[in-house]
Amino acid sequence: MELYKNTIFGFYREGDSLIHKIDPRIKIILLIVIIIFISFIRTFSGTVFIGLFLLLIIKLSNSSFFYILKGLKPVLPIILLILIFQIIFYIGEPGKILFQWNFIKISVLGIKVSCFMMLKAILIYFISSIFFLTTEMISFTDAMERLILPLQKIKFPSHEIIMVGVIAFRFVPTLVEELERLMKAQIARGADLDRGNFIVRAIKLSGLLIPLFISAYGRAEDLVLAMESRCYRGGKGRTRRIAKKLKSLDFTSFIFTVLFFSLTFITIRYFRLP
Amino acid sequence: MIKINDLHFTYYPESKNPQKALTAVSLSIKEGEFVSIIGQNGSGKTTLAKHLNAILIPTKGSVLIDEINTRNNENLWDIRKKVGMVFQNPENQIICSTVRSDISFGPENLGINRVEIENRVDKSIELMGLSKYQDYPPHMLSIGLKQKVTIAGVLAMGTKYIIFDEPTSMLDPLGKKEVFEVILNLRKKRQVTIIYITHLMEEVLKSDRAIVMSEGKIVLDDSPEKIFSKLKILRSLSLDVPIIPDISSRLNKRGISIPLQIITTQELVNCLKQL
Amino acid sequence: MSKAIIKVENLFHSYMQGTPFEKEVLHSLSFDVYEGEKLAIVGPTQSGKSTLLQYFNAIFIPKKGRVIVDEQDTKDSRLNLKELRRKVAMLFQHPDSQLFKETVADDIAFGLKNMNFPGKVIEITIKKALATVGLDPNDFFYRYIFSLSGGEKKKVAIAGILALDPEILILDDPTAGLDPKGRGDFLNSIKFLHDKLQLTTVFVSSNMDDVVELADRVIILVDGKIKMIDIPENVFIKREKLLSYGLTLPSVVEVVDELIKSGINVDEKIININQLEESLFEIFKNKNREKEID
Repeated sequence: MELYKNTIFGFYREGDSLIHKIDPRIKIILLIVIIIFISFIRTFSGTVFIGLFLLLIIKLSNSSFFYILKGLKPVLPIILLILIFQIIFYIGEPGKILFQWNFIKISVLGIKVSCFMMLKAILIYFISSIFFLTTEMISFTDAMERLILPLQKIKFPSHEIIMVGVIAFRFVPTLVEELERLMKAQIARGADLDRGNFIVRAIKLSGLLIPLFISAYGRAEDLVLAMESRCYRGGKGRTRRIAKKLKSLDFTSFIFTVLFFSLTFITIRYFRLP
Repeated sequence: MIKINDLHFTYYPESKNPQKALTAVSLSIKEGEFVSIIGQNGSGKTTLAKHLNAILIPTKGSVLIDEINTRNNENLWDIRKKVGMVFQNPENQIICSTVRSDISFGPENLGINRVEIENRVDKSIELMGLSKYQDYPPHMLSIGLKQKVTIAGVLAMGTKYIIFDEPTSMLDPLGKKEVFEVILNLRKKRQVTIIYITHLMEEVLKSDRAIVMSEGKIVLDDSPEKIFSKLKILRSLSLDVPIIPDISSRLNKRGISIPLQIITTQELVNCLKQL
Repeated sequence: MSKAIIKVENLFHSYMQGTPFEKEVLHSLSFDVYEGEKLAIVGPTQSGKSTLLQYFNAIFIPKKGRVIVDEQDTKDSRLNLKELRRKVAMLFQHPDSQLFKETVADDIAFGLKNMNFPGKVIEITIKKALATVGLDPNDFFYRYIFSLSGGEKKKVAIAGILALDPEILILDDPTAGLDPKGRGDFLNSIKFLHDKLQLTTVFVSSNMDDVVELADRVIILVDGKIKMIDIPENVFIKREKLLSYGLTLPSVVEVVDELIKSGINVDEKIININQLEESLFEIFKNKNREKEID
């Protein structure tokens, strides 16, 4: 209970490390590049190289490896569940089979591949965490808006989409507070929101989602009035924030990252590393 | 000047259950006035307010803001540049993740250049006493502070007319006093016309003019002193009766002659001392 | 002397415990709530009032200190939580927005089913609860929640907790955001229900006029500490102190204060308008008589 007062919202931790100082636009691009690269790794040595890269970034951003690792704790059961399902339902060349029952075949290859995929997912989680730890939400949304702004020429509503993101993020604490209140009201009437298996609890949760949704809808209506009263009419004609010039740090980090990954790729291929 | 002429408004006019919200409302508001509007929930106060910045368009009759008719769609944004509105729940008016960026929201929508925006935001922040909280996210502010942020945001737009729809009703007593104090002082610092919707008699007392509404019609339109002497009408409309006129009326009924038009405690003191 | 139906002993509460942001919200609170009384808990915003209320139905269990409700320690692991929550009914702010079932009957039945009320009894209990809050049971039993007005929804929410046959009613700032009529109606309902159902009522309010109208006793809570516990007359006479805590005074008390400072000798213990009327009448009845003698 008391989620609301006990959480620091958003991942951002203030600081002035090198990573903090990189222009958010460059960071977003690099984040996407790195995630794509991670998805394409097929060798174990690839993950080692990336792991080293991540450790370097973590050090440069003055974050703690264990702090980021702790973030996985709440979703650990889900991760394990997915891992188990992957192992059980692995389709493909079975190779050596360890255990068989009905259609369930657990093979060495199955375990290897599933763990590998899970490892990659965790790497993606790490690089994303570092990103959000070092980038303020407002800088992030500004940078995103700038990056997808050119798309407005083909009538893509860049600004409006960013606006949706901004507002959604801003209301997370508010909705959490409201959810807590709803939960307490139901607990006060004898509801057992903590007990029961997954399905039972999901059903109980749906009882909270309805009033939450209705209230969120009401808030949205109020917000529309407030925004229109303040002359909001979409992105057209709005004053933009002044874009900062890119600095040498931005160029260096970009070049460094691209070089690193290219070299990694080439090295693994050339030396046929496992 | 705001001119409202024979305004009628019905919600859902084409449906099975049309709801007539305003009937034959006519009034004018001069520049620089501080007008309060009182009435029970459902009396039409908020509906009337929404006509002033063209959120609603009259079903019949007209609303003119500085001679601009709200019916013309092309005029919509010109009207909203002149008429700002502060709503009841500050939580649902704050859009951005920090105080400063939220106050900038309005001026940004107007396409004002960045230097001017920063200037206006600085001034609004100072006026509302928010310097310390500039970079705070909204969920870390008390509800009184949130409302100040909302007001600062409207101020930064530089509108001539500001409508306040029960701005203090969700605040604690101290917050109510603080926010109302700030609104009162606005007139000293800026050229604004204030239209103030409220239930609270202490707030009505400080206005130049009070309009009482009931069931979509204007029932009384006069100075606060004259309105408050009409206790029977106020009671019949289930409105709060302020203490001084109430006491005067009670004492009068028991044979102590006190004029009914007094509204402040000081006036009561003077009358009692003269007896 | 009534028995103490709730005992708070040396209660502490802090949030963000174990972090650098730890904040102590309640500090060494000790007081009793007597059976049958209407007790107001008053204090500036964020003084811990709402948190305190949540100890009475074990939403919070004391980490330091004890809370004993109807002779049961809430820390006791053998405590029947459901039974406690049946006895102690709690109404949060904006109760109308907490309804979540499709029909009135379903929503009121929610609490009854949670508390294992036997099926045969549920329908009758619902109808009785509706009648108690002034809604026609034969009409409202079958109504859909979305078809109700705000006021009706509020009544359904109250019916939902009264249906559980509670002994203690806890209200968290119930008149927040209501207009004068709504406020008046609500306070009258609470007075009526309190007497009819023989409840003990504890309520948090920031509206001093509510306190004057409803409370038998008042607790002033500032920065998580109890500064005063007494009957309203004795609390509101300490004007300077209350103002120094960041509180406002009931509107009549402000007037009385100004009258006294201007030389009109009304009784300084006055807290409502009837008392003020009597006092002024006494003073000026005499004045008229003096004039006649002259």
